[in-house]
Amino acid sequence: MIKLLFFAQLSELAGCDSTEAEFQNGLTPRMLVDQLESDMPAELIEALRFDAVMVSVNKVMAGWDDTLSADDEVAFLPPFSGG
Amino acid sequence: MIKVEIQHGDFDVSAEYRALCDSAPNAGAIVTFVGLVRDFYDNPDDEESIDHIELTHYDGMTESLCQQIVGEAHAQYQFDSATVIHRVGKLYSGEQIVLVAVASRHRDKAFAAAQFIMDYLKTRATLWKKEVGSRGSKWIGLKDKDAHAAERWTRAPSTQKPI
Repeated sequence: MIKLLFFAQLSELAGCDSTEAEFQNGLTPRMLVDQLESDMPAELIEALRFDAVMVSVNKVMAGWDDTLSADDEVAFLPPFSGG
Repeated sequence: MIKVEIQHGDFDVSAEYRALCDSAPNAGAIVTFVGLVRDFYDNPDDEESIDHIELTHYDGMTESLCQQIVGEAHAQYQFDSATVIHRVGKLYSGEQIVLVAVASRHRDKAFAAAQFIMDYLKTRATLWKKEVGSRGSKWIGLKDKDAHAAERWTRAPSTQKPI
């Protein structure tokens, strides 16, 4: 399974901080968003496709088209605002 | 010495300053920056006010990104020691949010490194801030002025000037 994490406004739109998705060969973060479309709110999907949202895999910044491995932790990261 | 902490509790600037001094006996300059929770929105003349903010982070990743930022600052400015503490959780107006302290042989590198670290903390660390006030609650995205401030560190060193 792939663990998915949502932060900040994305977790509010998702109604949860995390969920899981089935692993399959060749899976990418972009494909995960397509899979989420069937059972997550449309507002979340729209926000995830916003250009400024970034993605990390196992706590390292990653690309939307990087290939995932089984048991990866994928986090969707809205624009940062620390400090 | 490089110290990076992400924590809920407050920090004692005097204690951190003394610890930094002790770790850098050859330093000739120490720059400290403390960020506070503002009670006003972007326009200070605005009569509406912010009650508190809620800061959230990605446990583990935020710490390593902060370490990476401080490491890059060290590679560029060769300071002696640095301390970065960023608080998370619910923080009220006037409370301390962030401490960046740098000890170096000379002030120019201490100032530059502190500013480099602070600019990148705002733009590259997995930290998110929600303002809660008289206008309700709102997640704050990356501000153009912060992105612009961070951009200058990617230019050639001779053109890096305070903005």
